[in-house]
Amino acid sequence: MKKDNQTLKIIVYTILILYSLLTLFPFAWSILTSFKSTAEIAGGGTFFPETVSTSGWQTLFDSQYTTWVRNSLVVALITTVLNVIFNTMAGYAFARIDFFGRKFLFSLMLLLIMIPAQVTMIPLYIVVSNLNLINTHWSIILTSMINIAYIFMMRQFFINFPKEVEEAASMDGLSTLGIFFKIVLPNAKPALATQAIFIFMGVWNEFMRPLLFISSPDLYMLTQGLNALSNQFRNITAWDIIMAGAIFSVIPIFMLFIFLNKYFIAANDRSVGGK
Amino acid sequence: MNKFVKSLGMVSTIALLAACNNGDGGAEEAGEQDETSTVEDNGGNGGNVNLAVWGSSPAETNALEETISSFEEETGIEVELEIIQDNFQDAMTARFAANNAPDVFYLEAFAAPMFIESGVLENISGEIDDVDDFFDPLIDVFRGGEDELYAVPKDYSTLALYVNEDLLEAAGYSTEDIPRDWDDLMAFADELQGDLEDNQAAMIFDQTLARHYSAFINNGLDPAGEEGSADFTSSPEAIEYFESIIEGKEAGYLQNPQIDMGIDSAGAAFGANRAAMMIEGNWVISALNQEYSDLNYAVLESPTINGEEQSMTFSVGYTVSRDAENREEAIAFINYMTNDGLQQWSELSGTLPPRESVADAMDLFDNPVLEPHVLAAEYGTVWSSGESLPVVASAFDNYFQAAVNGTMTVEEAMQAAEEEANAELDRR
Amino acid sequence: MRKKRSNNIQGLTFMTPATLTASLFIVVPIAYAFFMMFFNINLLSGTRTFIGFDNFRKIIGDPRFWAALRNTSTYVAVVVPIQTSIALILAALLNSKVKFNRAFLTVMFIPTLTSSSAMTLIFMWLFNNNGLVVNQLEQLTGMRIHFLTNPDLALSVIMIMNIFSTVPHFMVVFLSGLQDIPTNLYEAAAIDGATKIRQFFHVTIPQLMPILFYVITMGVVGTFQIFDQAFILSGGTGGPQNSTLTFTLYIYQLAFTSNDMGRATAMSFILGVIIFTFTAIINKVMKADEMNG
Repeated sequence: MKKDNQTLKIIVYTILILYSLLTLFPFAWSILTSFKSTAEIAGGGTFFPETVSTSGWQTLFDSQYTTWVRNSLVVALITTVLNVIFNTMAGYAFARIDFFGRKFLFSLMLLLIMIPAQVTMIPLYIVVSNLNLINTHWSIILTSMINIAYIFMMRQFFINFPKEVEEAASMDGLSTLGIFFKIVLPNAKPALATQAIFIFMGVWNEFMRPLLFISSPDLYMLTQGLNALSNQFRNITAWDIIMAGAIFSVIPIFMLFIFLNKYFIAANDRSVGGK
Repeated sequence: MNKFVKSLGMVSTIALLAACNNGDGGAEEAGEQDETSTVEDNGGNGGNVNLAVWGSSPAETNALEETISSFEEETGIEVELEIIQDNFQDAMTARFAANNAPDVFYLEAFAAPMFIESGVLENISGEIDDVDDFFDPLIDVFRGGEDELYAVPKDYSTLALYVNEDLLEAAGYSTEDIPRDWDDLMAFADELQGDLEDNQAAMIFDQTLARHYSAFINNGLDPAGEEGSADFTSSPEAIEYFESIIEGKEAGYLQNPQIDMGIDSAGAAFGANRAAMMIEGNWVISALNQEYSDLNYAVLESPTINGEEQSMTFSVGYTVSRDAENREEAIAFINYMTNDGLQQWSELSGTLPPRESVADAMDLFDNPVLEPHVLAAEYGTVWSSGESLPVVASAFDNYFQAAVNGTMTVEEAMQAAEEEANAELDRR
Repeated sequence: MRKKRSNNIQGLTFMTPATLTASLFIVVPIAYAFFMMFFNINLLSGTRTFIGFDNFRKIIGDPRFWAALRNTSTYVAVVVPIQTSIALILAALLNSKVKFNRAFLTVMFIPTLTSSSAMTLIFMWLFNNNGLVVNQLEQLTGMRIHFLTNPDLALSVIMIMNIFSTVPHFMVVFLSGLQDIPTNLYEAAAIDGATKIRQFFHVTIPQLMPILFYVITMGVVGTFQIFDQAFILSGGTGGPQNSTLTFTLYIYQLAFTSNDMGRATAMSFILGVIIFTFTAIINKVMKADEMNG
């Protein structure tokens, strides 16, 4: 029995380590590429840079790249805060409150999430244009301030969430809204952090909407800028610049992830401490 | 299932409401907004004009900005520049659908018939100065059924034959040995391949219709010439031409840079001494001169097919949207950019000027690298042919790739492409 | 009765922001699209003629529709089971009292954090015909395998990329689900003498059903809508011989190559119905509704 556990442990660690290495590999390769010279890249070359060149990074920061990073940061942060509040409220209502039209609204949302985005893009453009929002960051913020997928996720979360605490609070005379903000939200931190990361990620990575809605280079979002960079430099095989751009675009969101890591599935620590 | 039906009912009700609203209210509202925004933005004395372009190289963007400044100084009209990085066509379609089109925008010849037929462009016949000075094929492509003019070319590219002189010399040949006719050129490439190193190709090829449309034309067939039908098969000579490409690919003297050599672009393969010849547009020149400055190369005119000169021409113009808010300013802008400001634009951006007088002033006819490209402006086939072309081209590219991969013969591929294109055109 | 009314008010208050936004930016555009599918529409000029169900007839008669159906179904059938199982296994491993699980989680999560445009660029560079994977394989096997330009392999590169970047996402969703399973269930099973593997199948999986339903649904919706990668790979043609034509690429072609918005919206309606039917079947099979109460 004891020996079995030992082997099992070794297998578990081996799989986890191998998968982690597999994950890191493409990124390591991209970082190494970003420090090569364009000529070395065109010639095929070795795994490590023959001579370390920072010209790719210099070209990157000489462009408007930093402005685009700032735009994406501001828009993504605002959108994330709105989403976390609105999605959680809706998910909570679906899971806990038996109101008129709940079943209908839920089916409707299930239906809406299945329509491919390509179709609604042009009608959406017409709506946004009629609201006079074209070429503003509000066009992104307002159109993505809720997300049905995460309303769906929060509903599942609250279905699995113990009812007892809320019932006790309800006995104490708190209103549903009061219960929601005073009891439910603080207890839902892990789910909220998870949601926040995914929402931020979604906005940070959104491609089609910025492309259609925003056309002034000063207002570009990062993905648009990255795409512009790759269009400019791919033909001359300047993969050093492109990889520098791709890698740098991951850094802010990775930092946010580290920052929220503490709350992200916080319950996890419980199983470790138990041993 | 019941839930689903209920939801559907709801959606369709809203659809009807929305449809009614959109029919009358929407357009008006959009119009009003445009007016207010004009009043606010109108800082200069000479009015303003907004211009939408697609993103290209930093050099071209700088050139555009500088030429625009010259125009603003000259006229006092302010230009509001928007750069759309990708999917330009979709963005323009969306803007027309939302009654929010820019005053002036780039129009490539390929998409011109669709815009012209839809009636969304302003007829600018008689408002452009000195039209005869343009190379005819470049501007004629922007004319409608009754010869009315909808756009003015700002620059163009043509295909020419690039030769790597170092490789040729090492293999024991010189530029003079290169035959002008396509069939002889293939025979020469076959011979040359034997004298090259293993990782080198005699010639690079591209398999899209955009590069070979003129081969059909020279054999008397316009695949998308008749509106609403496609024809790839009625010219046996054209089929032979495409078979010669497959033959070369199988024998190894024709290679595709991405598929066979693993290099991102033809220019990079040529520049890295991996290919002795390529048929490419003048867009490769700046990369060849900057990234591969040690390279010795010569440029010749495209090979003749069926005994006649041929090349492909890619023409891009400025167009004005119909009922543009700032129509007068828009036309003034186009006139400046394609006339007084043309030389400045061409020199800064490194593109070819569509006016013969400017080409003369820039001494392009004496420039050994550019001359073959400029000569082709007269005889090249412009990549544009009616509203059916996008469907026809997409069907060709879909199936000719199968012939290149060896899963279909050229004849089968052409037959299949023709059937697919015709079926799709019938559905429209 | 009073309880019922206050429930209605509270429920609708909670739903207001979501309902308003969804109505304006999702329902209205979809409704407009729904209206367009019965018309022959030229978006540029704004002209339209009513043609009833003609758009649907045209689609059913188009061999490219069936090619797209085949390709997309293959894609879904390969990607969804693989990504779901890898995510579930990794989550179970991370949940099994390993040390440094936080560090493992952080590292493994990076691909999901990366934008699809950056990820596509990184993969294009990695699998480039002159790139690392092709060169290393050549050294090992002596063969040059061109992943991105060979259509069969190209589709598998998209699949790998999709799996690679969605696994961490679903892994985290599973992990949070796993941690909500009461430990006494495992203790009870252990007392009955169940091995770890048996516990996994008899305690973990049934407890995870709602989460599994969520993951599979999201996986199906996401893979049915695969677009960017297929578009980049084939330059928008879906070739050669329609081998990389997916549903959304087909929709894109109808809208912008054929300039036929009516048919494009009709096609997306068909796609919506297909996805809805699939999730309804999954729902039935997994009895997710009962479980959720």
